[in-house]
Amino acid sequence: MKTIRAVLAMFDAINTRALILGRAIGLVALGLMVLVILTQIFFRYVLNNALPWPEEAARALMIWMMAMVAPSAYRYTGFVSINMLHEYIPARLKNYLILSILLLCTFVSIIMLQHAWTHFSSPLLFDSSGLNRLLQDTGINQLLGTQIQFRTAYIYLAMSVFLTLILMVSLELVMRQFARIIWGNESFPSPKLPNVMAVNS
Amino acid sequence: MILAWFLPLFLIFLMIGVPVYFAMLAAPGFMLYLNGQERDIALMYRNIFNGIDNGVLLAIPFFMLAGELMNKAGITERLVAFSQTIIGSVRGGLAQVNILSSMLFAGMSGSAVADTSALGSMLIPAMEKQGYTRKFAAAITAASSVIGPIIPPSGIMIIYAYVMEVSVAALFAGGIIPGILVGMGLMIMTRLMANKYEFPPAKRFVIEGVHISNAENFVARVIARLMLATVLYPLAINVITIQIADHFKHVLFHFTCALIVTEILFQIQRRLVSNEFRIVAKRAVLPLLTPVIILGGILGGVATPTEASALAVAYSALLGLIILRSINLKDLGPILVKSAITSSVVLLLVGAAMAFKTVVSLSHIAEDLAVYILALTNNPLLLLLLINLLLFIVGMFLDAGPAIIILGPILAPIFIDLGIHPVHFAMIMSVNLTVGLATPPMGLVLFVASSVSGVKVETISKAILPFLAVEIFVIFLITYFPVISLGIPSWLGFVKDADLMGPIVGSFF
Repeated sequence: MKTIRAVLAMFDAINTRALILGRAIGLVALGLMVLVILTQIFFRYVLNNALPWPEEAARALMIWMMAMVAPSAYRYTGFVSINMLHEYIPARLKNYLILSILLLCTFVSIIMLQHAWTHFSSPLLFDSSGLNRLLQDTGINQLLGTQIQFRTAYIYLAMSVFLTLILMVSLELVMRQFARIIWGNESFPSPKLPNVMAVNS
Repeated sequence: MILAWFLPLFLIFLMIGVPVYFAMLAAPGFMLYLNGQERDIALMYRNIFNGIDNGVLLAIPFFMLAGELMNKAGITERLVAFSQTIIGSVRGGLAQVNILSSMLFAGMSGSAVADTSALGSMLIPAMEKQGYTRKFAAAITAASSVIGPIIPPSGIMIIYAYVMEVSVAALFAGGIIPGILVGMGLMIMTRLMANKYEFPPAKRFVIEGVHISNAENFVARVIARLMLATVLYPLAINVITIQIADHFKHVLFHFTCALIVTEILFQIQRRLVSNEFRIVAKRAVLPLLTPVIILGGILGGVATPTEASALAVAYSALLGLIILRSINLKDLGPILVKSAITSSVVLLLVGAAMAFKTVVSLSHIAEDLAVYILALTNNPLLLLLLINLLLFIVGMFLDAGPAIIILGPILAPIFIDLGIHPVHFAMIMSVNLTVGLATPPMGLVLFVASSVSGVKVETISKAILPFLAVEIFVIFLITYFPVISLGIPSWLGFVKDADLMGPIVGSFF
C-alpha cells in the first residue's frame, strides 16, 4: 500500500502541476484567439485589406488550447459518459467495471498517441504559409536575426502533447482505481476539483 | 460485413459507461482492426485532427466565452428586471419573468447550462421569497433554459452545421420561431397552472430604486432609437415612394424618416409609462445589443459566425470591464479558463465525430439502416414519429451535443433521401435533443438546477413534467409543420425550393 501511495502521490504532483500549466496556456491561447480574429475583422472591414494569417493562427491556437485544457476535464470531472448502469450494479462489480473502462481509455490513448507522433514526425513537414507571412510582416526574424520558419507540424504536435497528458492522467486514474479495489474507495479519494472548474464558480 | 458491427459495439461501450469520446474511437478502431483495415485507423486519427482544424469551430469557444462574460458582468439582473417590467404584472408573474428572461438570455448565450446557473441562482430565491415552492421555481428554470440552445446563437447548431455540412446561418435563422414557440408554450402552461394552483399575486418590479448613469442613459437612448429606426427602415422604403437618384442620399433620406417616426413613438411612450419603467428598459438596451450584433451580423450576411462571435466577446468584455465596470481584469482569468475547458470537451467530441463519420461511410451502415427502417414503413409521418421517439429516448440519457454528433451522420442522410429538408431535420434533431437536457434521468440542466436550488433531482423531475409535455407538443408542431423551421431561413434566402407546408397541410391543398 505504501509503494502504491508513493507512486500515486508522484503522479498526483506531476499531473496537478502539468494541468495547472496547461490551463494557463489554454487561457492565453483563448485570449489570443479572440485578439487575432478581432485584428482580422479590423483589417478586413475597416482597412479593406484581409490578412493571410489570422484564421490559421486562430485555428492553431484553438488546437493548442484544446490540447492543454481538455486533460483537466478528463482528470477532474471525466469526459461525457452515461453512468446509469453504475448505480444499479454491486459496488465491487462497479469498481471492476470502472477499472476496465479506464484500461480501455488508456489503450485507446496509447494507439492514438502512436498515430499522433507519426503524423507529427512524418517527412512531409509543410511550411505554414500563412504563419510564415506573419513572421515576415512583423519582421520578427529581422529583429532577432533568426531564420524561424513555422511548420504545420508544430500544430500537429499539439495532439501528441494532448495524448501524452491524457495518458499520464489515465495511468493515475487506473492506479487509483486499482488501489481502491484492494484497499477501499475511502483510502484513495479523487483529486480536489480546482475552484475554477466548480459549477457555480 | 464485420465492420458494421462497430455500431452495436459502440452502443455497448456507451451503456457500460465508456466516455463518449473514447467509445467513438474504440468501437470503430477495434472493428477496423478485426477487419484487417489497420491503415484506416491512421485515417481515423487524421480525421480527428482535420475535424478540429476548422475555422467554423472557433465560434464555439467564442460564444461560450461571450456567455460567460455576460453572466459574470451581471447582465442577468438587468434582463430579469426588464422582463419583470414587461410581463411581471400577470398572474404567475415571476414564473413568466423566468421564461421571458430565458428567451432574452438565449439571444446571447448558446448554452442551457449557462442559462440555468445564471437565472436560477437569481430567480429561484426570489421566487421562493414571493411564495412559490422551491421545486416549482427549479423546474420552471430548468424547463425554460432549454430555449438557450434553440434561439440563436446555439452551440449545438454550430456543431450540427459543421458535422452535417449545413449553413450555420440557415440553422440560426431556423431556430428563432421554434425557440419563441417553446417560450410561449411554457408561458401558456404557467398561466393555466397559476389559475389552478393559485400562484402568488404578481408584483411589477423585483428590483426597486434602480438608477442609470448619465453616460449610459445617453448611449442607451441613442442605441434604442437606432435599433428601432433600423427595424422601421424597410417600412419607410415601402411607404415613402419618393425616389432619389443618388443611392446614399436615398438611404439617408428614408433612414431619417424612420428616425423621425421612431422619435415620435419614443415621445408617446414617455407619456404612457412610468419613469421607473423607462430606467429599467434603458438598462437592458446595452445587453440586448449583443443578439443584435450576433444575429444582425450573421443573418444579414455581414459577418461570418466566427467573426460575429468574436465581436460578441469584445462587446461583452467592453460592457463588463469598461461600461458597467462589473468585472475587473482579475476576473478574466477564471472566465477564460472555464470557457476553454467547456469548449475543449466539445471540440474533442467534434474531432471524434469526424473520425466516426469516416467509419460510418466505410461501413455503409447508414444505407443498411435506411433499408431496414423503410422496411418497417415508408410513411414519412410515421417515420418522423418514430425518429422523434428515438431521439427523445436518446436525449434522456445523453447530452444534446454528443447525441447530435453520433446520430447526425447516421440518421440525417436517411431522412434527407426521404425528402425532409436538411434544415428542417436539423431543427427536429436539435430541439428534440435539447429538450432531452431537461428530461430525467440524465438531464444535464436538471443536475445544474438541483445544484443551484438545493432541491433533489427526483423532485425537480416530477415538477417539470407539465412543462415537458408542452415542449413535446412543440416538437411535434416543428416536425409536422416545416414552415416553423423553414419560414425565416426561406424568407432570408438561406433555403430555396423547400416544401414549407409539409405532409399534413399539403394533403389538404
